[in-house]
Amino acid sequence: MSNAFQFVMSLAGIAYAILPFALSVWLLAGLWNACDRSRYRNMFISAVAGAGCFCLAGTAISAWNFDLFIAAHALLLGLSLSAAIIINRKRRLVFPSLRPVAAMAAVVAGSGVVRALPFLIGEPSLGGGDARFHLILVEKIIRDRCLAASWLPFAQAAVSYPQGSHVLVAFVADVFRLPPHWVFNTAIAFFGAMTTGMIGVLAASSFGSRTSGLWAAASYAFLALQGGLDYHRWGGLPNCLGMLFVLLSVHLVLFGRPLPGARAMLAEFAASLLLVCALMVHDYSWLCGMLWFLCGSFFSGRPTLRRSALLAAAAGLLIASPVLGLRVRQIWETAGASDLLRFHEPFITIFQAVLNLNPLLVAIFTVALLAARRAAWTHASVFVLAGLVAFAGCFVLLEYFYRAAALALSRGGDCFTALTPSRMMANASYPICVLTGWVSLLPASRFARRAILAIAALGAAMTVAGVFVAQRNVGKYRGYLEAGLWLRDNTPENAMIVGSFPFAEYLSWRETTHPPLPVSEPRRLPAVAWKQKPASTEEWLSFSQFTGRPVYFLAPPERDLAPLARIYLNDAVAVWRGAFYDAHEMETDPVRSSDGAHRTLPHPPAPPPLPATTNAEEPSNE
Amino acid sequence: MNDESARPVRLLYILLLWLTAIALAASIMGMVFEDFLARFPTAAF
Repeated sequence: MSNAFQFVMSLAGIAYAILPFALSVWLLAGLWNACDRSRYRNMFISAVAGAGCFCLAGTAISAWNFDLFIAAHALLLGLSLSAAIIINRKRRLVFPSLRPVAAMAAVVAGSGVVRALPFLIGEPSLGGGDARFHLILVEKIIRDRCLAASWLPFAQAAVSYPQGSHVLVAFVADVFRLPPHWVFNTAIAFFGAMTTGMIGVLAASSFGSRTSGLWAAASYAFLALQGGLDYHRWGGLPNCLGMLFVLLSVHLVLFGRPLPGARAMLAEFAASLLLVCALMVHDYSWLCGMLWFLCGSFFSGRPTLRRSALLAAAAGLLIASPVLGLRVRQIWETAGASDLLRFHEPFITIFQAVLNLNPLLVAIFTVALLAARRAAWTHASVFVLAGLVAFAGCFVLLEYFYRAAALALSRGGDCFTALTPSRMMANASYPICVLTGWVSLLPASRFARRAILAIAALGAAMTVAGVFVAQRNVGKYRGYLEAGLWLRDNTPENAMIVGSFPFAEYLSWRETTHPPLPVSEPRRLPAVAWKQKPASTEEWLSFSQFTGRPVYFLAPPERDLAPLARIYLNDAVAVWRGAFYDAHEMETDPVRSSDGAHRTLPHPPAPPPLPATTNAEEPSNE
Repeated sequence: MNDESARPVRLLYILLLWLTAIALAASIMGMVFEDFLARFPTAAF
């Protein structure tokens, strides 16, 4: 199938997934008279909230049964469509003029296009770096028909990663019979475009100016690298979705209309639910949302806003407490085995951080901030600035202070950080983009305005072109793709693959020695890490003999592993089959070792802490 | 700037400036001791 067809089908699938929830939110908001003045803005916010509800309901129901969720989704679609028809049967469906929102719609559409181009043109892309483990979780949901509880057959470790976004991808891939990697990549472009719109809405409301909203949306769409255009490179769909929900949550706290009677706290309640949705897709985004709310309420000069933010954060904490309790316990139990508090990330200088964000974006933001220092800040824009300070403060704390403390406490023996500070920097791009909305409000001559616009447009064009060039080969591994599919079709299900290549696990569904587990997972547990210790071919043959599992070796095409038999070769990788001996043959058959000398295979050593054998086992989620 | 928002905004500006100064100082130190920091391993994901 062509790239365009897969893309359009994936888009249709995502729209189908969100539709019943978005429609329900839209109808409920109408019934409770909680709608925004703009009909289009109302529809857009309903769509974002619908995506959040999908992830929340999907996680809750699929934890038990994925098929039940698919059925419940179809039922909700029928009910919400019927309700929409009944409620609106006597009204004429009138759409207001598109003209006021045309520019914003063009920016949102452009945002989606520039994010999709790198994987639309050329051969199919399997996705960015983190997609290696995200796609494993997606495939596990499809195979096991419920949320993944463990990383089996790849690693004997429980999953602590939130799976809201994985349920979404699995749902679309399963219902529309699409390859999960296509849905995953499309979702990054789709929700990147939604985030562009959300940033535009937040900025337009914060500054009370549609032009400010356009500036903010355009800066996120075409300038923000880390936390924006960069998502496809590293495959950060959960972060993208989580921050989208956090943005809507912030918008609801800032601009939720006070309603009479029992609905007085509706906006705060909706904001807290969206924080829970963020938790269901990405812990880190939830943490950023909480930080934003706490810092925003601390610096807010308006008591009602301070109360609303604290109330939403507290309610979010309360609603999420059962899930959060389990998650904290799980993380606490495996903290020593995960890299959460001991992450060896490359040192990030402030210059590197600016480069990662995009120097032009930082320059525009700095100019706007300097020029606005004496301007009248609205409470909403102060709240957004407080969020930026919270993220920047956490980045400095984790990247520099924590690293320095680790270095000092280990007496110069180790240097690591915690909680992936680079993600904090990436998330700082959201408030930065919202605050670039100041540019349109600054007192400047017509010439200066045009000059700034020309520089920004030129910079945006260069950025988009640069991103396309940098990402056009992301996840495009024809050789690995073919080898992975070959392994799936030509090796037994319980085979052990010594070595790995990008997406080997997702494509072949065979256990490898180097499964790609994220930072939050206990990847240093002995039951996981034993496979990664250097071992000779003979040791793996002993392993094979001891466990009865066939062993295959991956090697670069030019490497010779004779006397093993090479059974597959392409221009990226070669597969060698390990000889399999029974106990009698071991005593008699000489085998040539890697140094060329003939010798008898040693008796297998005492068994290492072996992982349970693979797919033949019972389903991992029970 | 209106009075109500002036104080927190000024405070936030100072905090942002202060954080930038710390990050700048730490970055320069990191660049000076680049060879030393390069000894430590880095991980993916």
